[in-house]
Amino acid sequence: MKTTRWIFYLLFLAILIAGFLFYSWIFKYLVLAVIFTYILNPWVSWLERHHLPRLLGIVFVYVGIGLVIAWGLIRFLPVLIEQSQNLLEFIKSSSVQGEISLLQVPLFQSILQQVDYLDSQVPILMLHDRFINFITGLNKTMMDIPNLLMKNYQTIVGAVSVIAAVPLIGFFLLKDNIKFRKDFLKIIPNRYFEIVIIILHKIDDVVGRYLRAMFYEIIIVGALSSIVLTFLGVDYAILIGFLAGLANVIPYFGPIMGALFAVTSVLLTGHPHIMILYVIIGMYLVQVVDNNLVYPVVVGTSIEMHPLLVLLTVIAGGWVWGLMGMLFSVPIVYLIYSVTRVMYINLKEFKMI
Amino acid sequence: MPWNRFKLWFTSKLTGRSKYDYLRKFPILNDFTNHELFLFNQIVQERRFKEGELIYQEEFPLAVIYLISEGAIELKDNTDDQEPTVILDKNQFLGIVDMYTEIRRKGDAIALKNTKLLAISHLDFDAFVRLNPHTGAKLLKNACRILSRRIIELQNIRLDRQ
Repeated sequence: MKTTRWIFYLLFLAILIAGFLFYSWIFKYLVLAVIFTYILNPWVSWLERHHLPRLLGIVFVYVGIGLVIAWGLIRFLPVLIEQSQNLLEFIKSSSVQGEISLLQVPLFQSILQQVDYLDSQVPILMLHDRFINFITGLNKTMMDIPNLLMKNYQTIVGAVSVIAAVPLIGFFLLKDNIKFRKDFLKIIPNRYFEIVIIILHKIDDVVGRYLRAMFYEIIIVGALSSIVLTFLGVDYAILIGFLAGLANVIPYFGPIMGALFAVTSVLLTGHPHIMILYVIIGMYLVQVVDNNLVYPVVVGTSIEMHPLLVLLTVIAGGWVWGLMGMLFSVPIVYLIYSVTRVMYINLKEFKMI
Repeated sequence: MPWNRFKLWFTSKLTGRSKYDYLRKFPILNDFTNHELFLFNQIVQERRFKEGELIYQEEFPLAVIYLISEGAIELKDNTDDQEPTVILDKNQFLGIVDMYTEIRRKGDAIALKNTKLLAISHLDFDAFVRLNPHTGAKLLKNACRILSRRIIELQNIRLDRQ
């Protein structure tokens, strides 16, 4: 009997490992589809509670989102393309006269003047050459941006396939999530049932609330920043507003990063320096609205992470996964921390640890 | 499969009965509409316990509400020897009132015979009441009605004994 049981466990483990290896390449898609499901599920459930069958509710939500995206593309894509083209033109025009052409930018011109003044006072510093070398490096990096896009076309094609696959997987997750939950709970032995059902609910609640909050915050802060920056006459306002919305997912430092994008744009495009102050005040107002109106409504509770931990996580994320790591390391760490906390508290409550 | 679903839907429209009708046998749910039963069924989980099996233990967090679909349950209060054991039968429920007053279980619950229970996490129950306020009010009103009846019955028994 014991041998048979062990053989069964070994076979089960082998099947699990084989299944994991077989499906591992779609793991990324599945995670994204789960996030997608978490964001849309309240809408579908709301429609279901109002007598619309779940399947029709999903179709209704998909069509609604499709229409919003289509409207957004028609309304904002031309502006975004125009702003991106202007940015490229700016890069190209800066490189016409050779490698040190970024010096045409008013900001760098004024810095160079200061550097030359310092050199004239303390010749031993030789800051002029160092500054020119720095500008040359920066220029090369900017010139490489279009090449990077060409070299990474596979990544871009991959992103397109993700965009196509995620809603498809999300459709089935939305349609059958209650069934999946019931089926999973069915296989849990009676002894562990109560703790599993509670942990499942709490994890579902924490993860769902956080993901939805992140999504709505990106959209609302992005839109508010775009409006404020457009009103102030900042170049690339929509692009920067969108980036500020994305950066906002990092607690404490995200809003500063968003403001920095806007200030950099003002400095690079040669607007009067007083504009920097307006931009800072504008972005601060966006944060006031976010902290006092948006955040309490969509998130409800504050994220309990010490600023130092956030800073270290952002640096570590940037070190491992680059820009994307900087943006998403804090949410990932926060979710792992919250899930572990929920499990620890409940396992202790049920005297299992 | 889609044909079966269509048949079920069509029959339910003709007869006014749904596949969640089995829930109506519980007095707490007997005035629910088909749609309300359908929504309630989403948070219900069927569990089977063998005779003598422990359902929950004393001092465990009060996490789940149970509706007894088949069989019977014995509730033991280990803290009070004077307190007689309570036996709950088919179609009765446990945990709804305690949910609002207690954090932990006051005693053990054991299946007296092979028992089928419908388990509802108290967090799901709370969410159901919050998201469906009309149905939630109905549900809590039914629970109050059943409990007040039970209290009157107990008072009458006590008076008879005196």
